[in-house]
Amino acid sequence: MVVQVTEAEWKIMECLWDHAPQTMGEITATLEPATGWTRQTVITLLKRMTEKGAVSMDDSGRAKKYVPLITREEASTVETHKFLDHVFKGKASLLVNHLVDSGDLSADDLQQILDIIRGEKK
Amino acid sequence: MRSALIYNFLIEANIMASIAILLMIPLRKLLRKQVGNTAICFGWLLVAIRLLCPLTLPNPLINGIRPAYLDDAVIRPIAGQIKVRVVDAIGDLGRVFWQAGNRQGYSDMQKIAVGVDYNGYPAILAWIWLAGCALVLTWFVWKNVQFRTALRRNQIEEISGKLKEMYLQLCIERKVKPVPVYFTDPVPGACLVGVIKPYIVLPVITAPQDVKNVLIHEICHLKNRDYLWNILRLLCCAIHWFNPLVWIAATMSRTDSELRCDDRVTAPMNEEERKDYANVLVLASARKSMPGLGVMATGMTMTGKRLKSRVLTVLSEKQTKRWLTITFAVLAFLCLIAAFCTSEWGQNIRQSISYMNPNPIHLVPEHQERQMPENLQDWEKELWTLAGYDYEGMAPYRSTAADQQWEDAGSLTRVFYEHDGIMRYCTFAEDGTLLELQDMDALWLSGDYLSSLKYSRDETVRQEISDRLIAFLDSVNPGMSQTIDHMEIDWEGTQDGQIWMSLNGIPKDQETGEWITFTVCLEPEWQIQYFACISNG
Repeated sequence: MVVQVTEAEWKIMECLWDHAPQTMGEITATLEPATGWTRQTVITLLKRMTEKGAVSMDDSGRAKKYVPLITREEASTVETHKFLDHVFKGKASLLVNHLVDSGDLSADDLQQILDIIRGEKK
Repeated sequence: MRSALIYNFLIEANIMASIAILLMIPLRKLLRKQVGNTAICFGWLLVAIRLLCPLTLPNPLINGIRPAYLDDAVIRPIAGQIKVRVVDAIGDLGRVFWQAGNRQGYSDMQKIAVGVDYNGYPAILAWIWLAGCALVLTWFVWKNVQFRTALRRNQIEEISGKLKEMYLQLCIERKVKPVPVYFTDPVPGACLVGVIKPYIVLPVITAPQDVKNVLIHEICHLKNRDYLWNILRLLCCAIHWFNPLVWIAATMSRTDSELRCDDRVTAPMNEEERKDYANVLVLASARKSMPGLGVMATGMTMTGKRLKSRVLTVLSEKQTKRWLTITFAVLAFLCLIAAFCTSEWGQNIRQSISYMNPNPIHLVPEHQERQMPENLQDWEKELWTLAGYDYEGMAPYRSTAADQQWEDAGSLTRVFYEHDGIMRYCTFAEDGTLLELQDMDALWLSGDYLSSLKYSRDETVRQEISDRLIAFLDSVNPGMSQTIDHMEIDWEGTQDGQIWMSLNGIPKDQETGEWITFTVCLEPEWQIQYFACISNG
């Protein structure tokens, strides 16, 4: 099942991908300086994320600990598809065209893309 | 309720408001810097008042535009003119069909024209309008329910702690009664939602350094009571859903409300604070735009050229000229009063002009008497030609209508004419005076025709028809037209693409004089299908 995370939930996922498991207090402490979120905000978001299967809660210890159930790659794939659908009508070729036209791709980047495509063809 | 009342309101409101909208579109661009966004929004408010208030004030200038033969006193002159012109336009279109040889198209147009005039089309259109209103309102309600449900589902918590303290302090500074503020995720952007119990929705991902400016923006929406403006916009669009200018105006006024909000936000700010605020606007635009016009929520986002001009306005120094703002507001208000002056002035404004008693058409009394032709058959040919018929092919046979004695007419001769199974006849007095002429196959004789006003409402055309009939009378019975005081239209009817008018020549001596009756086919070809100068009563 594809789990979609919102922009706010992505921040918590980033936190957990960097280091898991983490308690709610640890997550709040990490995110508070950049977001200004209170403990209650993080609780609500984590509850929602648990319900949708993005994270799981381990309540065997003294404090509840959270671990991500989806990898960064899985979440990135979903978000990339969403982005492609939204901006490039679902066509990756349009994105590559755009990047080449705008000069955002270096020669190394292009070489890597070509290597990936060649590897895929084999 | 009479549909005429709905038409009076809709037609007057839309004509006046559309003129105002067309004026507002360039004025808001030209005068924004000079008069400010508050004055522009005031202009939109006046447009909304004109669109929503079914008020009418008397105006002597309106008396002159009531169309003649508008046989419904409830219809006010502006709506009456529209009705008459629509009917005429449909009739003209019908004639184009006729000229192109499309008889069916012509007939259809005639039916539509008569339907608009009499046969309940206006009532049907009124129901369509009502259904449109219900549909648009339902759509608005559906969009709002959808939006509010999503917001409730995505609501995280009410703001608290230092953030709430800052918010309450901002409310005190801006003199606004605080409303709840909820962190929500996901949400396209910060907004003020609701009407009765409004609340602010704040995206939980709003950066801490931007929160203050975002909150000030929404507080200023609250101060401007923009949630009430939303209702006005929705009502205008729901009632006048058929007018694209109203939708354009609603969208523009929404943009202007945002700009007015920016004015209020930045009024006490220094240059640095303005830059920060402009930065927040640009960042907000990078997100999804707010839901459309139908949702009762104020958004913060604006994209493209509008964003550019918004940011430039925020960064620029205000150049509002107070005297120009006041002049604009006063002139706009006077225009609003004038836009309501749409009914007739005086006591007799409700007096209907009766269709059965039109203004008399006076005859030109001078005419030349002439001798009757000695050869009756030649004369018959001449009079049928004068009546608009082709005499060739008619097979006359005569009978002495001895059983029909008209006073002062002596023995009568009735001549029947048959042509392709169609019967016509003429009745002559002993001295050759034409007493009757009738096309017995005329469609109107069945009585199955619809009333029309196409020709009878136009005084010039009425006069032309009358003149032509008198010319016919002068030709067939010289001297007879002098007995007529004036002509009155009895009826005008239409069926299967034909239009007829029946006119009575009212004698000068109404005690003893005889009425002279004509029934003439006006379309598709001029034909005098019935003539009688003496009654058989």
